[in-house]
Amino acid sequence: MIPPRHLLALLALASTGACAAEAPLPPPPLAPAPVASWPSPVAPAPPVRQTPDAPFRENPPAAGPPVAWTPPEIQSWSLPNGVRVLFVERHDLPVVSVRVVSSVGAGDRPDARPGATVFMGAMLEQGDGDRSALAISDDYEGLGADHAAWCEWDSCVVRAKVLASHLTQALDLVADIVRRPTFPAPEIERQRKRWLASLQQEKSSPPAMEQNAVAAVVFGRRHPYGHGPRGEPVDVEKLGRDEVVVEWRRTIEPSTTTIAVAGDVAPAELRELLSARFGAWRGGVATRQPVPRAPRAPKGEPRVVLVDVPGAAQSQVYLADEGAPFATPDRIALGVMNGILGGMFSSRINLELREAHAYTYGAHSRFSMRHGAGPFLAGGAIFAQHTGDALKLLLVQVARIRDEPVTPEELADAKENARLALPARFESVDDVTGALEDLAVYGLPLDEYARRSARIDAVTAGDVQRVARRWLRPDAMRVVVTGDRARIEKDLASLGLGAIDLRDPYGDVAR
Amino acid sequence: MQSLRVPALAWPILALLALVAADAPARAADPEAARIVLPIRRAVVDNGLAVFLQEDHTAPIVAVDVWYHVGSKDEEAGRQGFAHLFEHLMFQGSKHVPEDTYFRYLERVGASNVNGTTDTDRTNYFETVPSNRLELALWLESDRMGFLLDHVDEQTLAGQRDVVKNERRQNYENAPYGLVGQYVEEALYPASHPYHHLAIGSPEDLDAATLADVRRFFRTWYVPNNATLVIAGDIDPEATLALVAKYFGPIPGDAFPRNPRNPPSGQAAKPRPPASPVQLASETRLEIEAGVELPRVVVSWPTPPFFAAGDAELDLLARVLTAGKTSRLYRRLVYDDQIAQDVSASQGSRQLGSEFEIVATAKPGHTPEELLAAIDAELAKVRDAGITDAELARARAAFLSHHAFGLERVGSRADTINAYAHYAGDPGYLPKDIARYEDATAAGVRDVARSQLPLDRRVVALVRATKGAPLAGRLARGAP
Repeated sequence: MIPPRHLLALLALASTGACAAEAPLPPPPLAPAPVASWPSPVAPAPPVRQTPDAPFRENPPAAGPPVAWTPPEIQSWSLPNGVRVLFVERHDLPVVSVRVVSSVGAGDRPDARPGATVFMGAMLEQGDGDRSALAISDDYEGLGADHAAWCEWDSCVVRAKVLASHLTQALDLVADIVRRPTFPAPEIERQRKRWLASLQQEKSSPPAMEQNAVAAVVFGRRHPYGHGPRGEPVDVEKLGRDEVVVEWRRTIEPSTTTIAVAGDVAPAELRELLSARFGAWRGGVATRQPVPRAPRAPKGEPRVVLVDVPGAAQSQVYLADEGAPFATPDRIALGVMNGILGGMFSSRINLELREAHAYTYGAHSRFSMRHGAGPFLAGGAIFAQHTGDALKLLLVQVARIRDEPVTPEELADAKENARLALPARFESVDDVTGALEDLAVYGLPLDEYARRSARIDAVTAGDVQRVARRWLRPDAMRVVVTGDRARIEKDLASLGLGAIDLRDPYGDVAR
Repeated sequence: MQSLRVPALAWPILALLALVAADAPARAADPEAARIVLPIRRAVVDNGLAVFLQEDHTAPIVAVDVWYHVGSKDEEAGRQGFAHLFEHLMFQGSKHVPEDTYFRYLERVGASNVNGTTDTDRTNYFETVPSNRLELALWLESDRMGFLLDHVDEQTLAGQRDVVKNERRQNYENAPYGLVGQYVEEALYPASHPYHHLAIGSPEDLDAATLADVRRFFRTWYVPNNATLVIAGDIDPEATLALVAKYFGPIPGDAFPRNPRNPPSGQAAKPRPPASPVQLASETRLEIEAGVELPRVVVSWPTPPFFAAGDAELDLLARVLTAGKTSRLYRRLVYDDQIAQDVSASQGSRQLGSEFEIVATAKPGHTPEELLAAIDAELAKVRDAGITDAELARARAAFLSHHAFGLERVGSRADTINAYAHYAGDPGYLPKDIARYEDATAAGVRDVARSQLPLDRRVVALVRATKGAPLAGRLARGAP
C-alpha cells in the first residue's frame, strides 16, 4: 500500500514544468557540527537580497469558494434511570473522549461551605469501589489515559481520553469514579494539607491575589462567587468528611447527568457499554439552587481597591463588576460586543494598551457567564509606572463603546471572527465532548451549534450598543489593583475615583 | 504514487520539485499504533524553502506553520533576547501588510491558534484558517519573509521592545520563582555556550538592540533556505504547491551553508554529528532567596540532545519518577512522606544538548535539603535495582497515547512535522519516534539513570522562602 522509502531518491531527480532545464540547488555543504561552531561568530554583513514586488501582493487575496461546514451530528439517547447520552461518532483516529457531566456545580450550592463542592470534585479520583487512590492512578496510567475529575462553578465532570482499544477499561474506571467514590478519611486529610499549602502559595502569586480580591469585592463573602473556587484556608480547615459526602449526593446523580462521548466506537457497542455501567445507577438528590445576585455596593463605599505587593514590577489592573448570566438572551450580542472591546487580539483595549502605548504584554476584557452572573473584567498586568495611565484608557474604552456605535468594519470583523472559527472548535475528540458538555451544563438544544452562525450574523451595531449600555455599568465598576502601594498609590488617588480600600492577599479587608 | 507535476508557471526562478513520501507505521505491540500515521508530501522550492504537506479533510481548516531554524542560541554577544524580540517584529507588518493589521486580517476570517514562539533552537509562526483562506495565510507569511524590512522602523522596534520587557516582567520578574530557571541555565552552561541565557534575554540587551541589528538578523537568518513550511489539513496538494510557488518562489535564498536539516532535494538528512553535551566537573549548589511561600529544590543535569541515544529512555524515566501517584518520587515525597507539595521530572530535549530536571516544592515546614535527600535516595534505588517491567509498560503507554493525541489538531500535526524536520532531519520521523519508546527496555532506563544523572556532576538550586526577597528570586550564593 505504501511505497518503500528508497523511492524517495528516485523521485528526487524529477523536476518540473517550465523550469525543467534548471537544476535544483545542490545540497548545501555540510555545516560544521552545531556544537563546534559556538559561540556563534558574528556573521559578515550578508548581501542584500531584494524580493521582486508584484501586483498580486498589493492586496490580500480573495476568499476561495465558501467552505461547507456542518457541526458534528449528535446522537442522543437516555438510559432508563434518566442519564442522558450525547455521542459524536468519529473514526479518523483511534481515540475516544468520555465526559460524565453533572449540570450542578459549586456556584449552584450557595448553602455549602465555600470550597466544599470543588474539594469533593478533587476527591472523586481518590478512592472508588474497590480501588484505592493509588490503584486508580495506576490503572489509568496503564491505559495511557489522559484523565481528570473536578467540580467548577456550573458543573462536575469526570473525564477520560484513551486509545479506542482501552475504552472498556476506561469506562470501568469512570463509572466507579462517578458512582462509587469512597472519600477515604486519610485521603481527605492528605488533600486538605495540599490545599492549605496551595492557598498559602496564592499569597505570593499576583494573579491569584487579584482574583481573590475581585471575588470578594464584587460579590461579597456570602455569595458563592465571593471566593476563589477553593474557598479560604479557614474553610478548608473546618471542612468535614460528612460535608464532602453531602456535596456528592447533592451534585452528582442520574437525573442531572449527561454522558458525552466522541470518537472511535460504534454506537451499538457504546450503548451496551454505557447501559452495563450506568443503567442501574441510583443516586442522591441533586439540588441546583438559584445563584443570588451580587449585592449592590452601598453609596459612598470606596470604588478603588488595592492589594499591596511591595516591590512588584507590574500591577494587576482590572475594572471589575458583576457581569451577565449565561442564560441572558443577550449572550451572542455580548460576545460580539466584548470581542470588539477586549476579547480579540485586535480589540480596542489590547491595541490601545499593548500596541499604542506598550504598557503591557496583553490586555483584555471578559464576561464570565455562569448559571448566575459571573464577573466582568477588563485589564491586564501593567508596568507599574503606568498603572494610572492604563486605568484611564480602560475607562475611556468602556465609556466609548457605550456612547458611540461601533464601526461597520469592527462589527463585521468581530462577527466573522466568532462565526468562522466554529469549525476549529471541534477538532479533537476532547474539543467535541467539551462542546457537548456546554450543551448539558447550560441546557442548550442539540442544534445549538448549527444555529449559532445565523444568530451571530443577525447582530447589529444597534444590538452592540444596547448590550454595552445594559451590561457595562461604569459607575458601578470597581477598580481592583494588585501592586506596589508605595509606587502606585498616588497615581491611583489622582484618578479622582475616591478613597482607596486596602485588602490583604486573600481579598479581605487589610488589618 | 508519483512525482508531483506542477503546471508551467509564470515565475521564472521557480523550480518546484516535489515527491511523495510515505512512512511505514510503527512496529508496536499495540495494534492501534498501526493507525497512528502521518503521511507527508515533500517539496522544495528552488530558493531552498522546504515544504511539507499533510492532507486531511476531517475539518474544513488548514494549518500553516513556518519554522525559521534560528533561536536564541544564534544570538550575537550583547544581544540576548534578540531572536524573540525579532519574532515580535514579524507580527507588526511588512511592505503590503500595514502596522497592527496582521492579527486583524486573520481574526476577521475566523483564524484560530495564531501565534509565534521563540526558544533556544528555533522560531515558529503558525495559524489555522478556514480552508478557503489558505491563500491569505500564505500572502501574510510570504510578505513578512520577503518584505519585512520595507516596514519595520524605529517606532515599531521601540514599541515591541517595551512589550517584550512587559512580557519579561509578567512571566519572569514578577512571577513566583520566575528567575530560578535563568540562574540554573547560567550554572549549567559556561558563558560561551549558546544555552547560557534564556530566550527571553536581558532588559539591557533588549535596550541595546538597533534597527541595524534587525536588518542583519533578517538577512542572515530569515531566508527561505533556512525555513521550513508545513501546510496541514483540508488542502488540494497540487493547488497548494502552486500557491506556495507563487508567493514564496520569488523570495531569493542565499548560498550560506546551513545545518543539514532541510535537505533541498528531500533525501534523508545526513546523520547528526555525535552529540557532545556539556560536561560538568562537579556539583554546583545555588542558594536562591525568593519572596515566595514555599521552598523549592531544582536539580538539573545536562543530557543527550533530542533524538540522540538515551533521550527516549530519559523521557520514560521522567514518567517513572513523577507521573501518577505510584511513580517513585510522587509516592515518596508527596504521597507517603508528605514533605512535598508537588514534584515533577522532565527531559527537556533540545538541539545542542538536553536537560533533565527534577523540581520539588516543599510543604510548609520542610526544607529543600529534605527534598533533595529523598530524591537522591529514590534515584539511588533506580540506579541500583532498576525499574520494573510494569513501570516501563505504564510509561510507554503514555507516550503511545501522546503520539495519537498529538495528531488530532491540524496545528499540532503541522508543528510536529516541523519539529521532526528540525531535530531529526526527517519530517516523516513519527514511526521512528514511536519506535524509540517501543524499543526501550527497563535495563536501558536504569542505564541512563546511572550514566546521565550522576550525583556529583549536576546543578542543585535550593530556593528558600525569604521575606522581603524578590518574588522571582535572587542569587545569594553559588554564582558560577
